[in-house]
Amino acid sequence: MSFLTRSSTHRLADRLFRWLTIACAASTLLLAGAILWNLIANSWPSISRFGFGFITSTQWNPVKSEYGAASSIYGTLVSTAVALLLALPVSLAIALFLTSYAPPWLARIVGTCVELLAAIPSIIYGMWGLFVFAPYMQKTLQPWLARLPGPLFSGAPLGVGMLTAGIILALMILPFLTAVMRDVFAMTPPVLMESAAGMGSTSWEVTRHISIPHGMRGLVGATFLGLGRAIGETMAVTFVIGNSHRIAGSLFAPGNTIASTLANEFNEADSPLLESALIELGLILFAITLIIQVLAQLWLRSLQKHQAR
Amino acid sequence: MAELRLPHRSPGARKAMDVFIRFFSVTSATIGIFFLCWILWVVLKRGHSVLSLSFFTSAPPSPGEGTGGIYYALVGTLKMTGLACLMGVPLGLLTGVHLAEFGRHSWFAAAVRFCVNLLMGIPSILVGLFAYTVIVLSVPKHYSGYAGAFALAIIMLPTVARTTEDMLLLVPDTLRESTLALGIPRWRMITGILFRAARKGLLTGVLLSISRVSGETAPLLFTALNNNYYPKNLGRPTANLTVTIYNYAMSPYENWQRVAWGASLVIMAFLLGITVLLRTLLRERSHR
Amino acid sequence: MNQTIESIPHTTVSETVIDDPILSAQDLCFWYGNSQALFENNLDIAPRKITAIIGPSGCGKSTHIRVYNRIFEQYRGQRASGRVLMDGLDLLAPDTDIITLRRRIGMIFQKPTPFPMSIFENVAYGVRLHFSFTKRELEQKVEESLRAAALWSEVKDLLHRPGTALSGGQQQRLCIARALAMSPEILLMDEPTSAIDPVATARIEELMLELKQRLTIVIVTHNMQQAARISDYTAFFYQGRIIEFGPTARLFTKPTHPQTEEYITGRFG
Ligand SMILES: Nc1ncnc2c1ncn2[C@@H]1O[C@H](COP(=O)(O)OP(=O)(O)OP(=O)(O)O)[C@@H](O)[C@H]1O
Ligand SMILES: [Mg+2]
Repeated sequence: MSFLTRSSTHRLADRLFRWLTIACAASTLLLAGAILWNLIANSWPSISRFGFGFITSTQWNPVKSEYGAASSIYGTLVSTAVALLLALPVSLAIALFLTSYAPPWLARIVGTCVELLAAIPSIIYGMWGLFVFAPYMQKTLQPWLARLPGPLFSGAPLGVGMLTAGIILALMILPFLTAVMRDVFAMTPPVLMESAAGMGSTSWEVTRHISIPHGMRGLVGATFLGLGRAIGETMAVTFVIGNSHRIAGSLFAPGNTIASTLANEFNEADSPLLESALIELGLILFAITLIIQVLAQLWLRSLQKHQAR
Repeated sequence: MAELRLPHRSPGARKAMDVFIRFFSVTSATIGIFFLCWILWVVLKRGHSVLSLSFFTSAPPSPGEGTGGIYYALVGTLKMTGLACLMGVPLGLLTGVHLAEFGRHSWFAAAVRFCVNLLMGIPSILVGLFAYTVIVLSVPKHYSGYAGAFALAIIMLPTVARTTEDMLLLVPDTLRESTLALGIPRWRMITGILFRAARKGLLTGVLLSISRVSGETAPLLFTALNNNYYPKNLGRPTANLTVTIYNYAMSPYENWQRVAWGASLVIMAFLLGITVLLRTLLRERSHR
Repeated sequence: MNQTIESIPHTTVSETVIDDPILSAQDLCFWYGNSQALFENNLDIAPRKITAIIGPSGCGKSTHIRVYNRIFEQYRGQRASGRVLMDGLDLLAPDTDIITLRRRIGMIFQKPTPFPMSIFENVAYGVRLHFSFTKRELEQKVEESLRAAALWSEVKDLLHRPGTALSGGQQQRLCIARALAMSPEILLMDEPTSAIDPVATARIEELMLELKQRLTIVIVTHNMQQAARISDYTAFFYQGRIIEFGPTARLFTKPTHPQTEEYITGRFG
């Protein structure tokens, strides 16, 4: 037997396998490209009709065939902001609880429970939100909040609305943020923490001055990703946001988001222009997630480089 | 010797802050658990009454009167998820293989990795919109279970690809070397040895992707729609659990709403089960 | 560092001539990216003998033997020049069939790496790929290989247990059995006993002396006694060069180079 007897079948098989994996990997590129392309192509009638004004117009009038995205964009941003404002401190606190305060057995139970929040499908959040949580909001929480001064908590307590949607979104991204933050805290070198504790710092001060700055980049990355989740969440929001195309200053007011507008109106869209306008809404949502993704990935990459050093 | 006078910060304030944070963190944990229990309780309370064997085996009730089940929707969901697995899992698996085994340094792999992350982050309703424009809009316009399965597959793909890459990278290079050193060709090394070494991780990825799609409603809204008939083939609008829940919950009929809660309980139990299973799988990994 | 390399005599001593070597490295150089790790290595491997490769950490021992079965090729940026002759053919030539090459030249690593499958399958897996045996023949081959690796008596009733359930020393012998099942002519061993306890090490050393009847062994070791005990020839590497090569007895008693002497007497490395 000589080396020159090539068992070319093996080489061929290796090469074929490799090309097979390349083809599959390329399919993801293709998909991402196709999604973008399709959204643009199908929203073209709307883009050419309304131009840039689509983004700033608050009109949504099927009778006059006038469509604008402003209210949906506004609702998307506001509900996401509410969700982040609520979820960030709470998830930070839970992560802290899991890593430094709770005994291991309790941390395991609490950790599992928080993780299970992520297992509940969004439609169940929606149903619970609409049938159980919104009435509770209307009867208890909103009247109580309405006593606070300022325009944010004014208007009739309807139960459904921006605030309710924001709270439910917060619940939905909570497990996700908590998991990342817990990892970030767990990654803080024990030496650092011990030396800080040895200087007489309280455990909050250790977290505040050591763990958080040390894991800052990770925390910001987590926030980006949580943002990405909240911004495109559909079903839960559709149930509880009230579905109105009006922009109101109060968080009690009903509104809509890009995703909820799509879920509500797309199947009923009877004119090509409305369908196209709705797809353009989708394109805007895609653009927003794309930007968040790019930022998050750039950020996380610089984080890896940072850690590699 | 004179006593040193230092500007001490009041230890009382610092302690108070610590106590406050401690309190806040306990409260937050309680809030999380409270909401979990609340939701579980509501679904259990409203869903359990309709649950029986016949709930799984009977047709949906007619609006307003009578009882019925989720048989058609269950079959439709299983069929679509199965088909989505057939498309999404192999594609995702081989993509992950490429990233971990052939593309550690290439720009192509970097681009693919970016797209995989992008696809992971795309809102599922946009995936539904995409499937609508690609499949439903093909002439003549028709909604179908195939379109739904296609959308679900797109959601599964990046999850499977990412976990596959991660799990293969956990396999030490020495195992690769010692396999190759026996004269085993690379593709056999990957499919025969590495897959086996990482099998729990790969299974985790597949389960994760199934759990991601089985609660999804948004990607089916514009693709599979829903149907009141048995989903014999997927060429037509196809009954499925989540859209059934959506439609029935929003309907004015009390008996439909009951079915919606019952179906929610079924899906939730399934997802909680899968999540606990995944946790144990992952725990075993980290223990080794 | 360049300074030191310059100060080392370039003439590689080859008073020791191997007749009819089974492997012959000629002017072998190696690069990791831009940094050169081997410099003009010339080494003849005597058939059916044990050749030990010794030298301080990082001197290129592993790098050198990883060229023989071209295992380095799966990494980007690693490249070799020069020739390694086997059967009069250069195994570094592009048209060499790597699959056959690796069947003929087996390799054992520092850490045992059992496949995630049963003990039987660990051995049978590669056999099935290279040979077409009947079930009966395959079983025979597995038994024969496990016997040759001195593992049979310990595992003959556990063949369907996972290979990972064995002890470290047993795992290493399983890896040897796995390699022997390919009927290799040469066995490369990179510190095969450094992760294993003394008793298990003694068993593997015994095993190597037995195997010497049938095949050629090249072993990298940090253990001077081990090299002295089992090898017939020894090569001393230093900073990517082969400083001295000769019969083990001679090299350990009368080293001709000061570096060799310093190393084997334990003054550096
Ligand atoms: N993957 C790699 N990338 C870059 N340089 C490497 C790599 N592997 C080894 N080297 C370098 O090549 C040189 C030789 O390494 P090699 O592993 O062959 O040494 P060795 O003699 O086997 O050492 P040891 O006794 O510690 O195993 C060292 O200087 C090392 O730093
Ligand atoms: Mg080495």
